Amino acid sequence: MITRNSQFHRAWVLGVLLMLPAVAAQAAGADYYAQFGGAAGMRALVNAFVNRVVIDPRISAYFRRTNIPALKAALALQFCQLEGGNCKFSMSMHAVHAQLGVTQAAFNALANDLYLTMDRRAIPMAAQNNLLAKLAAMEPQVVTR
Amino acid sequence: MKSIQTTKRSPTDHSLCEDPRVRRRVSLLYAGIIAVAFVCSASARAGTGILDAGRLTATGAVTAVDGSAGGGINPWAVIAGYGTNRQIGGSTFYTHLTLPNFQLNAYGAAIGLFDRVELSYARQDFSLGNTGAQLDGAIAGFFGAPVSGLPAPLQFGANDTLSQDIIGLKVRLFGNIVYDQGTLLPEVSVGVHYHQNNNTATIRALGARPNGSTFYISASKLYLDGLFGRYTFVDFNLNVTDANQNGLLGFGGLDRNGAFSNRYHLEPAFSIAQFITRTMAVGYEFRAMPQNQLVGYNALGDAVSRTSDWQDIFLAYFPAKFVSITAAYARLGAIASLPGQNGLYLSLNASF
Ligand code: HEM
Repeated sequence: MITRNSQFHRAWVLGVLLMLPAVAAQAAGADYYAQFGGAAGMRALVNAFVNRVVIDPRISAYFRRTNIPALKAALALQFCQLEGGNCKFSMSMHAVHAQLGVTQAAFNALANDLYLTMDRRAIPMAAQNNLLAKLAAMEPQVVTR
Repeated sequence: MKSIQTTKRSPTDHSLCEDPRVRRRVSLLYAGIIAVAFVCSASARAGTGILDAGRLTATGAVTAVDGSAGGGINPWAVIAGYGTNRQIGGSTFYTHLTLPNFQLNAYGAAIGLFDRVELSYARQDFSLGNTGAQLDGAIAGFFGAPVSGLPAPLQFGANDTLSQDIIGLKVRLFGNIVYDQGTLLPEVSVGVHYHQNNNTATIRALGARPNGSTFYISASKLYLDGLFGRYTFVDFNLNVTDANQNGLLGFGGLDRNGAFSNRYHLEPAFSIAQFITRTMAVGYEFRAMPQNQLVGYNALGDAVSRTSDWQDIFLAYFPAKFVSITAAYARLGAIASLPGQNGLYLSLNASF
């Protein structure tokens, strides 16, 4: 009669441990805002990002009646605040997008445009992913369909 | 496509290559993969329609050997393809695994409905090559009988193939690996694989059942800003199953008085993956396997029954959103009395 080996028991422990956030709480110290190039870098990034979004055929229709300079200013402020640049931003993402009918596909297309823009501007990967993670978490406030 | 064709024609892979039915089916599948990838890349910029692959690259994972979206040996909680909650996605795959004594070819397709339900089909062909004759000799030796005296289902001869069809259903319960950031909440799905082994007589002769099911719950978690500021992925599964070698040797086994028993076992499995870039990940997988007694409570039975937990280390690469290639070193351990069944795993996946 065959009995099982001991790896089986270790797998339980390891598998359960792995689900714990061993990874989560490491970003705190990094100065990502500097990696984005500070205020000037962030403005330039947002400018290029929004320029890409408004001609992206997947989502450009959403922005047909948008005040683009105002959008750029708001986003630069928001990204600055998210990445530790000492900016004050307090707009409700839910309120801003409530009437827009944003889909998950549109949300992802916008995220795609953002990381392509960040790649092009050679923002370090860890800084990119820190911003993407914070924006991804806003999906429930932005997506309504 | 060319590289896979050559893999398929590896010199030890006679049985499959020479079976025209398999050949036709596999080439149809290639045609399908090319067509899907082509149509998809054409429509990739077309907007956010129902087939427009609205999820981000790699979030449909690759395809596990049983046909579900997942890693190489474990299904994950994600739904196959790139469909969002308002879209339909899908994937097809072809996998080849070369082991010292066996070759495994698997192919199939999955469809993902509204990022909620996944239906999958996989076909696995496990070819014995020269190993069949070796097993015949071992079995005959144990009984002190000539090979010709063995019951027909246990005479494997040259180039026999054990095959099974696997139908899968997966339902996402809650969570989203991309959007659930800054929280511990994983994406969680439940699923079932129903296997039909096509070598009914052989499986029965081993004391197992040719068809059966594996039920699972899968929790997947992606940290977008994980280790080294890169994506880090973890998955933990619980399988409820009585499958022998994932169904290749049927389901259930014999209890002490020689009667068939199909006691289900609770088996853990997990996968971890670390992305190096947005489109390339390395990882490790573990899948515990139930240990049932096949053949009988004797030395031959012990040898044939011995099952190892499955493991692999893998490298997955998405050269484009709709195509992925996975190379792995798989450690399946002991299979059908032959230890050390470890080898190179190659998988091609196309999805939309
Ligand atoms: C996490 C992701 C997102 C963030 C952080 C974000 C942020 C913002 C901010 C700060 C504003 C206010 C701009 C202003 O007041 O001028 C805004 C407005 C807007 N957003 Fe978003 N947004 C996100 C996703 C999306 C998506 C996916 C779409 C559609 C594809 C979208 C479409 C719009 C539009 C059309 C406006 C202008 C609304 C108006 O003029 O009233 N947003 N967004």
